Amino acid sequence: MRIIGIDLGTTNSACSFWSDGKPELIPNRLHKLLTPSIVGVDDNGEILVGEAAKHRLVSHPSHTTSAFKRYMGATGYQTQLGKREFSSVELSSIVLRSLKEDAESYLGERITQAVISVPAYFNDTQRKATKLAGELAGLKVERLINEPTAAAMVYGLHHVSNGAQFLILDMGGGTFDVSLVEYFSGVLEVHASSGDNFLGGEDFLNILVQKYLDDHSIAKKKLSAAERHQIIEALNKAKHQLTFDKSVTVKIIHKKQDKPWTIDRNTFEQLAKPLLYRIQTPIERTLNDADISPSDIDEVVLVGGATRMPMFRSLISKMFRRVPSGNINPDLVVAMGVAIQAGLKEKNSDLDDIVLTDVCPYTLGVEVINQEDNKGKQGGLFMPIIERNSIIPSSIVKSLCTSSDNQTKLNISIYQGESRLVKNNIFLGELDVNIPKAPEGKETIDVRYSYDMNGLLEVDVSVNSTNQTYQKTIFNHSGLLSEKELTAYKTKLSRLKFHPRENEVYRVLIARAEKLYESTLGRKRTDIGNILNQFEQVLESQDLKRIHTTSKQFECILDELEQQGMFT
Amino acid sequence: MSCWNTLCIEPTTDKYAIKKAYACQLKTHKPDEDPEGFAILHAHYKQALNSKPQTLEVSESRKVIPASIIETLRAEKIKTEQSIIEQLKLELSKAQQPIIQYINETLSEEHAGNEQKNELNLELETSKAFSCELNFEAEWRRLKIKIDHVLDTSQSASNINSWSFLEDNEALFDIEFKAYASSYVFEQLISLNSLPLHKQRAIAKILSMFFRWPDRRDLLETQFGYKKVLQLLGNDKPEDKQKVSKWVNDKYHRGPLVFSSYSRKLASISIDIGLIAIAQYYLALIIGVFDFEYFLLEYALIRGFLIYLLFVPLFEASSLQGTLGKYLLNIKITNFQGRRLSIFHASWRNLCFLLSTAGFKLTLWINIFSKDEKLLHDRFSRSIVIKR
Repeated sequence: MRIIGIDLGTTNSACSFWSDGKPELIPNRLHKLLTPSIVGVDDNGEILVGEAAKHRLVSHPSHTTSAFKRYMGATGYQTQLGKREFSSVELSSIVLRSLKEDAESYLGERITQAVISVPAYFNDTQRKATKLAGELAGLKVERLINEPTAAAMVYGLHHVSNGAQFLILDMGGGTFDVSLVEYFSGVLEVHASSGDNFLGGEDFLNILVQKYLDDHSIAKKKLSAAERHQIIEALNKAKHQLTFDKSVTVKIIHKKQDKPWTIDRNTFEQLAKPLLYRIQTPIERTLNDADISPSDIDEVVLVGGATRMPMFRSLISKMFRRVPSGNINPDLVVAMGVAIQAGLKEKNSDLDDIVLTDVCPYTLGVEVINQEDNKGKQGGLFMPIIERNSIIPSSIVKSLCTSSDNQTKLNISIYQGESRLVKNNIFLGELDVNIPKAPEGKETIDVRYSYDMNGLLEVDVSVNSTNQTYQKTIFNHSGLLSEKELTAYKTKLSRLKFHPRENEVYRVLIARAEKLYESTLGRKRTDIGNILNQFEQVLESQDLKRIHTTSKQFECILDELEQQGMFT
Repeated sequence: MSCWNTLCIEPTTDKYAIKKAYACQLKTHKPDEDPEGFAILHAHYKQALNSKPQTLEVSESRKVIPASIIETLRAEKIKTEQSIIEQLKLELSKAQQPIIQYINETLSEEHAGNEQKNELNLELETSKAFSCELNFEAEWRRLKIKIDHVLDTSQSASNINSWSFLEDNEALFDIEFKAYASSYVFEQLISLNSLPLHKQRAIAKILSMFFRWPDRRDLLETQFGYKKVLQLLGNDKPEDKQKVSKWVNDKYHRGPLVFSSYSRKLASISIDIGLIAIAQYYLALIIGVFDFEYFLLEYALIRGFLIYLLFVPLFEASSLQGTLGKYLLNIKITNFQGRRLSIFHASWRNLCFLLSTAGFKLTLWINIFSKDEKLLHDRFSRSIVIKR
């Protein structure tokens, strides 16, 4: 059975597989390697994914959504698309399904298994949600792999010499991960890992948007959704342009803006300073945990689109006093690494002597009674069971005892985090245990935490005197799905109509034209409207040859118009 | 030692040999196929690595700031203000002399493509801006004098602009240097006993923006102790506290859904009934119909029900998410997903409530046997009562 690898990103996703000793990326239906993680519903109620949906963000903002990975695993978070509501899990599964279809048509076989990448700092709930999304898309998730680890595999396998330490810095659209990885004689060992789940390219973009709004004294709340997306899109392009130019001028994109707006790199850097400070903390933590000084690191590797920013690169250069390497395309390296993991899972003979070991990025523990806390202000204390950066799979037992006489029930609350007090950590789940009556401290229970290779936690509790055992796989209420609910979910998704694959190219062209129509004025606007009408008539004629030639022409016109577009 | 048996080698201090043996053994104990064997192997591998004499490692790393220099610097601290300022001037004039050597890294030729070349040019451009070999000792001496100077007077310490030199300092980009500076400043701040606590906290707040102390709270706690960190940085997450007192709530419930107990619900309903009774009394007063005929119990009950049906759904669908009694007792009503009820949903819930109250005996019996703390009307109307 073929296993595919999927990099499910905040802004872009990619799909890959292991073929004849090297990772290979799978192009989507539009022959592109990256598929935007954007989902939309069109006027007929059909689902659109990727490029087509991306263009519709401006023209149909209420029917399109992006960056839903940020809300993965959040309880009850729903996105309204037209008449229906979707959770992040469902939206992700729609993207996964589209990637799966692309892979199936590219490879010419049915695909049922996949390896999916997640940010290293994703917590248990978020991992479960990702796994569920895979299952809803009809993919058995063989493994969840951490994104920096995947990137490290690519760099590790490229490295010939023995024994090298890499520091992987992975900043994508929404998350920032740091991993310290060592590669020697076929073993890829992750030493420590840390991160920030809400720091990525999107945050830098938000700063730019805020600056634009402030400069033109526009209230964010008063913007219509279409206007907002128009500004965001223009500024996103400006942000990319700032990587190459010292300053960028943005054409008029909002009615309150009376002349072209210029932003230079220095101003942007000044504004982004708070974010740059946030980058330093996880790096420092990783080095601290691995007990290593920056000079011991052989190579600092940058992964993810947001690491292209010059200010990010210069910060890293200053921190480590060397030029970081990023010679493999930072957008695709994770997908390539996931393909290697998929190859490992397939037990490919070319990967026979590669072994990967990973760590658990955060501390997991239970709540215990805080005896010093008389006023009830602090709440319970956190007792670590699995310390952060311990190697996985890991299984650790700790004993707990009763705290009062004749106690009959013991509540085990499972938390994740680094703080001394549970209230500052993340609650994962709880479990009630019945115990026989006895004086204080007499009855003991054993709590076993098992953390598997996918980063999923299982808790086993046994009462020593009665030998009763309890078990809990950690689910938050959002992740708790019975068989029945799972099938209900599946039927809901199967009822969705998807846009036919073969027409997707034309869909994208129409969406692009619609977007241009929205963002231009005057004569140009009517011109675009006319061309669009013509094209739609041709499409209705169903004359394949004619459609093909007109679409080529149409694309050329659109390219030209977009060139004249945003910047002066 | 047993760890050498597991690794199948003779005891050695050669790091490379240990790693090689570990890599070799790992092929037969892969973590996903043989988790237990792998756990043992890894533990022994770590043991073997640590068993070697550590002299080499210690002398090699940690060369940034030798402890002796810091000690002598501390001894120097007792000086008059005059001399500090003089020295500051001297040091600042020194700083203008270039101590920077530009990096000249030869880049490997394997990267091709226009875009990447462009990127590399950029990299070189940016890398010119930083020095390869900063003199950390001099840099630290300079920095320390500045820090001490600013901390000397409370006005300058609580002024955000006087700390701006931290942002401009090239050496502070270095991770170890920054960590050291951070703990030095923290220590100094704690020992500033002359300042009142609120001023210390204000200074800590300013510096937190630069050193990001709240993020590395746990590291500081291990270094200085929990109490001192609490004293300086205050409680965690002050923004959460503000949220509790806020009138407007989020549409979705955050955190676990904890069902409220029967007694709490009963208490909240009693408060509501009391409030309605008071409202009726004043209503009667206002209209001036303090006529016994219309204020008989039956009429009052009917009016009460009407008021209930009219107002309670409004309250429950508002951002209060419950009647006043429920608000006071810190519980709220949501649907199964933790979302606020719509007005129709809330009306339906209260209709169910009235119906189930009419069949009071039945309700009671059903609830005695099911212990999930859900009342009958909640069951029918698919809503739940939870702690705020």
